[in-house]
Amino acid sequence: MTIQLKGRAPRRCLAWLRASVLGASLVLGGCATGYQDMRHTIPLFGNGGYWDEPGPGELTKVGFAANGHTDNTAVVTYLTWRCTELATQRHKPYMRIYPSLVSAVRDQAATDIAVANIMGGPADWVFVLFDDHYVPGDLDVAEVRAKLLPRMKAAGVAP
Amino acid sequence: MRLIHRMAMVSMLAIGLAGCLPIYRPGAGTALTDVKLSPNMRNDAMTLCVDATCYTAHPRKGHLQVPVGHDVTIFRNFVAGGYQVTYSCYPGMRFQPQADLAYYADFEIRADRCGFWIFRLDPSSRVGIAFDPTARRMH
Repeated sequence: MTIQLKGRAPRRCLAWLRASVLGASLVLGGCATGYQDMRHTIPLFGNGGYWDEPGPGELTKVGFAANGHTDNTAVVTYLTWRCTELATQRHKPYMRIYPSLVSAVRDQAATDIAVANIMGGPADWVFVLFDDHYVPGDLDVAEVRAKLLPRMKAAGVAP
Repeated sequence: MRLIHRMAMVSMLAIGLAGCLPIYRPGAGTALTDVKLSPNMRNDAMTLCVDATCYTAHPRKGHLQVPVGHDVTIFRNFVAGGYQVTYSCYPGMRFQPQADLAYYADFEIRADRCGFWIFRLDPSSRVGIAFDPTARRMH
């Protein structure tokens, strides 16, 4: 959506408007992506955040997209934390992370998440399977949360 | 012969990207099966090639109907705008749908690369899908 000016605005007014738009862009665009739901961000400013979508089967695809001011470690932390949040919401003490559907079909669970750039910013996604009981390849949700907690506290997300 | 077939399909894809392909309308009595689409492409028009003839196919509520007993190729036509950049890719998968099976198509972007996969739906598996031995990548 573009800002339209009707009629002839005074030159000083236009200069002020340009400065305001530039300032707003710098303020909004100069920050690293925080831990937030991507659905509530304004796509125009590309703030990013986490997202998830169901399927196939019992899998949930969970992703985190960040802007170019965010480092990969933060994206890994936020993406993994989001997976543990979903597990907690579903009362599942264990989860298994697959880097792709191909690895899910082969049941090759991952222990690390590698983050790459997608459309100019660090972003990644995984497929997660939640378990009631431990199965080889599972991560203990409580253990993962305890490990990530200091970083989430430092980021101002966890109390 | 296979190379000519492939070149014909690539030409048809190019025509399709230009918006010149007819809409896929299966004839009466055509046996069809279902391809469930991953949520990130559930509403997007795709290029559907049946044997060597290509069409534009519009999903309905995240599902695409394809004819059974033919060589079927589905191309995902992905275009997205970034800051001063336009991203596009057209990955495809070829497979031979069977009447007694349903399928799952998945689209993925990672490290600025597109991936497109066709699996069989498998309700007996927790992950809900299995490899389809007839599926071949076209990208």
